[in-house]
Amino acid sequence: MCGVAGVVSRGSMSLGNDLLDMLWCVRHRGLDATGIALYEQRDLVRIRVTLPDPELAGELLETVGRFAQATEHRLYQGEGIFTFYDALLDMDPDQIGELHRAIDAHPRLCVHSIGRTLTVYKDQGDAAGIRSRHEIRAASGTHGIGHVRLATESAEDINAAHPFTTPLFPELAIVHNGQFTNYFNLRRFLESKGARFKTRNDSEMAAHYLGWQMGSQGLDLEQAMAAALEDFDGIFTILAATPTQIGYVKDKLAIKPLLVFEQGGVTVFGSEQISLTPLFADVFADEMDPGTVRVWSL
Amino acid sequence: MVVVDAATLAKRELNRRLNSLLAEGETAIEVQNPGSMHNLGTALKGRGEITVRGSTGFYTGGFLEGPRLVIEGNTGWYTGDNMLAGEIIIRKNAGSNCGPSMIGGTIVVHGNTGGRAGLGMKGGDLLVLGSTGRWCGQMTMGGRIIILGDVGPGLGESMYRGLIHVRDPEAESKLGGNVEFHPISADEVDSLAQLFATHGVQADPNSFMSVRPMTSGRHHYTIFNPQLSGADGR
Repeated sequence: MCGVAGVVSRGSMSLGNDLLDMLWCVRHRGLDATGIALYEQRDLVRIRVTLPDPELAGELLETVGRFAQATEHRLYQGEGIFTFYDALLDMDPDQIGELHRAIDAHPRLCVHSIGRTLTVYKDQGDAAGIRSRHEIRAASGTHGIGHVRLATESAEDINAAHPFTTPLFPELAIVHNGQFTNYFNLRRFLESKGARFKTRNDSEMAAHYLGWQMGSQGLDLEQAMAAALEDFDGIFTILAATPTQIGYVKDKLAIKPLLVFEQGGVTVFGSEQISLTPLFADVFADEMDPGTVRVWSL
Repeated sequence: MVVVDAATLAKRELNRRLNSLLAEGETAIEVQNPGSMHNLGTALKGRGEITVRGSTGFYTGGFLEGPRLVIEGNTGWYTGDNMLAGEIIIRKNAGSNCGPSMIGGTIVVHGNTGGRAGLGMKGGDLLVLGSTGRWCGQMTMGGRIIILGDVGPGLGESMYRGLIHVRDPEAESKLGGNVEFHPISADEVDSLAQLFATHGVQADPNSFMSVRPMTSGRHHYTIFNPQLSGADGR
């Protein structure tokens, strides 16, 4: 089933908590995995990578060392087989895409996020598990998106959890509710344009597609999602975010819900009304129309 | 009056409690702190009235068979799914797909509701005092939908049987496929007048138009036309 969530709240110190509270409310939509992407203010680039074997840390550190000086880094074990690498990097931000690509070139390493503002936490299980297993510090943030996953289109694997990012457009993050029927065709097309897929989750394709449109094709977020509305076939409600924008695209039949509520400078997005209750006790949110694209600028 | 606090009960236990109370002959039950709970009031049978102080989530009152269920807040998607008899009164708004596959009974939405209201209805009445979203009455096989406010595009899309009454002045331009737009008939006016009187609705039945399924000359269904050329065709 899957569920999506989003918050826009400039200057918020509790984005991570708010999103996890929202996702906890819709855990019935997916208990396989949960993930959030946060956009925060900081001076250095933060990176999060998974390793299926801690022995791979040497290779990872060597690759990182070619691009950056790690000023603070941590390796810690997740619940399952994965070890997480989390570091603050002193590096040229223009090299973020290259470093992402270099790490992902390794068949067993997977970048979850790398960015000056973006941080992705995703793991198996529910929102409570994310909170207990990962150190999510309070930081001044502007917006974030989240997802609960019921795996239907690919094997369960935390790298296949949402949000997805792409080296084709650094700091873009997306979450998706639905499935793509023309995934294989689009995957081949995007691979021919330089996308490297790390999972068999069809939703990863949407991140690379939007990244390709916004990167080499020069479209902005709204234009890229309008193009996706035409090129994608299947069922989709996609929430996408960049450091300065957040937006959605919904397929023309709108089977997967997206509710939006705005009040007092805060905008919340959710799959169900219940997921808005941690921030607004009793609201009736607007449901977004089928076949529409909308973007909020921060 | 029996008060049940939903904050302390899992939904299965809450619904079991409600059905037990109804079976014991309780006629006035109040549910507090629903917290947008899903599946509240599933498969209730009996003759009592249940009032929910607050909002509920998906599938409120599904398979209802007799009681009167009043939601003082909002409800989510699929309110009254497959209900057979009784009433669901929503004092505020209802989400999309309100009254899907209804077989009997009455749903009254005092506010607005979303897309696909009355989807696949087979019987009963769905009365919306506010407005509805798109594809209201899609693929109905019976029953009656009445909308006092505005309707969205695709009104009555692919109806087989059933009836929709609207007074949105733009309704004719928003019709879906395979339906016709007609003046309301005298019998329909009388029937509406009774329904309005029962639910305290202040509206003139004569101000409505009727949407009925086309009885001949059906054309192709056009709900979904995938465009198969795209990025892979470049």
